[in-house]
Amino acid sequence: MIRYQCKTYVRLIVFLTILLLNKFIYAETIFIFHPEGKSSQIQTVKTDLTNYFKMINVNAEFYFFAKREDFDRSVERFDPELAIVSSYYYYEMKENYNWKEILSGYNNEKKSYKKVLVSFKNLNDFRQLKNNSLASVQLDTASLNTYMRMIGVSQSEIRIVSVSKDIDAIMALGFEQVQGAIVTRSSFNQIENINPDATENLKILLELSETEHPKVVMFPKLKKIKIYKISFANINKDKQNISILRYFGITDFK
Amino acid sequence: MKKNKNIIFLFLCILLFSITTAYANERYVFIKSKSLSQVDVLINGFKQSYSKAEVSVLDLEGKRNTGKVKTFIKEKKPSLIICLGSLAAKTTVRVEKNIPILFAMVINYKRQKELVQKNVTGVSMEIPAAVIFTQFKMIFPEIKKIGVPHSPVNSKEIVSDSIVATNKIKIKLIAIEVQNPSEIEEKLILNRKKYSGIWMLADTKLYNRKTTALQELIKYSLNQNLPLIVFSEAFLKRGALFSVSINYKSLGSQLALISRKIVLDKIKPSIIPVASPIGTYTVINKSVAKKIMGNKINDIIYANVDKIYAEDED
Repeated sequence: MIRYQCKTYVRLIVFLTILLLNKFIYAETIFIFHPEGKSSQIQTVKTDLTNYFKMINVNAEFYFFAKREDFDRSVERFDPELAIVSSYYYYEMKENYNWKEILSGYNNEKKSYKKVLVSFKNLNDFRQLKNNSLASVQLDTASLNTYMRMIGVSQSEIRIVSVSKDIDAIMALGFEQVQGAIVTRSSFNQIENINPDATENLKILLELSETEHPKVVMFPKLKKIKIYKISFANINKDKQNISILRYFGITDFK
Repeated sequence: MKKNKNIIFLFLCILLFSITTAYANERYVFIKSKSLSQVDVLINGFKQSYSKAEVSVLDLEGKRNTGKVKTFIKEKKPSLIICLGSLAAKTTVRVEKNIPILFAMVINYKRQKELVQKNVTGVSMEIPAAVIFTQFKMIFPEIKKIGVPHSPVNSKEIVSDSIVATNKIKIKLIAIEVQNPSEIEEKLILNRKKYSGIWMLADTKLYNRKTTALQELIKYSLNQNLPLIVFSEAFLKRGALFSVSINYKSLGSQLALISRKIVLDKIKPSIIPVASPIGTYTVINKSVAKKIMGNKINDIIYANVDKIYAEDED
């Protein structure tokens, strides 16, 4: 009972703090660039984000981008205050945009995830994948380039089949329609457990570099940093916001 | 001096010839049976995966027009033709016997004997049962026995193949033969103790406009609190739990891959078997999931699907 009351007070304090900080705020523009997110969920995420910020009296407009070119073009046009971007894009563009990271995405206390290259057991060297095909969830050109460099091939030397979920990439490999799949280690383990038959001839050929989860970053013009920092840090407190976190593949922002 | 000029001229001719040949090698045409949003998604998926390809599209507008197809092929001189839908595929194979043809979006292609031709291959519409049930098991691992009502005339082969495939993932499919669509509920009741979920096949003999089998199936599954797995998102609105259908963007990407094998790697279509679709599009009905699972539901299941009905409705 006491614990419950404490929680309610904490929420109330957070809410009041945001309200106070937000006293004179106007509509702010927030850009989102997360090509790995499922496009079918964008509308829900947009609505949930708008509703969440409305609830705490923050008037923000959200714009989603699938391509970096569109993101870059729109930055000039809309002059946004804030962005949630994939980590590799943040590291690549932070100096260009004078970005400052205000929060990082976490999944069960983990700041990053690892992808692996899966292929057939009889393949010993990942360079053998040159001139073959790979299945993967949609990747941004930059992250794809990074992975290709690690595999030791260029993008033109490999053909990519784009899927929406790791399971599709693994099953495509299981059915020998492609020669490799780039997936998260946890997905591979999950499928290995559910359908050992599909994975019995497959193995992890290469561990790709760790990738951090998406980041909340501010453009230099943002004034009310605290509001956003508190709001995003508390986004996981409300069950309604689960779709937002799911879209970014995280459990909270810290 | 004149000799040098001739050499340069010859060199330019060779260069021009190689450029035009290379250019022609990248030319692909789509022939679609009719306009559908899925077709546009598919073509975009193809272009995104294969940005170098020069793409032209012909819409048959639902009419078998061989003349239109002939003229289009003659005009475009493609390296490969991609036919979307049964009408487009059947019309094109009749007029074109040499240029490689890839078909997709053809339901039950095995029954379309015309498509067996040496310059033809494709991607089927049938998602393998192993893929469907691996996806299902990720969400509902506790359900291990699934009833499959079907018409033996139409679907006996699919059911027996699926039984073998799903055995490997420890899911037991219970074949429920329904000779007459009006008997579906009766047959389901008769076998009730044998299964804890139902799989609806795309069986046109059972489910069509003249029968009420679909309505009865959905009503029964809801009354019995049984998960119903379907092949189209459209049935979720009526009360089905989970759909696994083709992801058309991925299908476009898969067609791009096969196209390059044929055009660039010079692999003959006759030695490329018709492939199963690689990408799936899964949707879960959240309210039905809550009704069936109650408090046992774990929100983590929603991370494994493409869309949550009706949460992600546009």
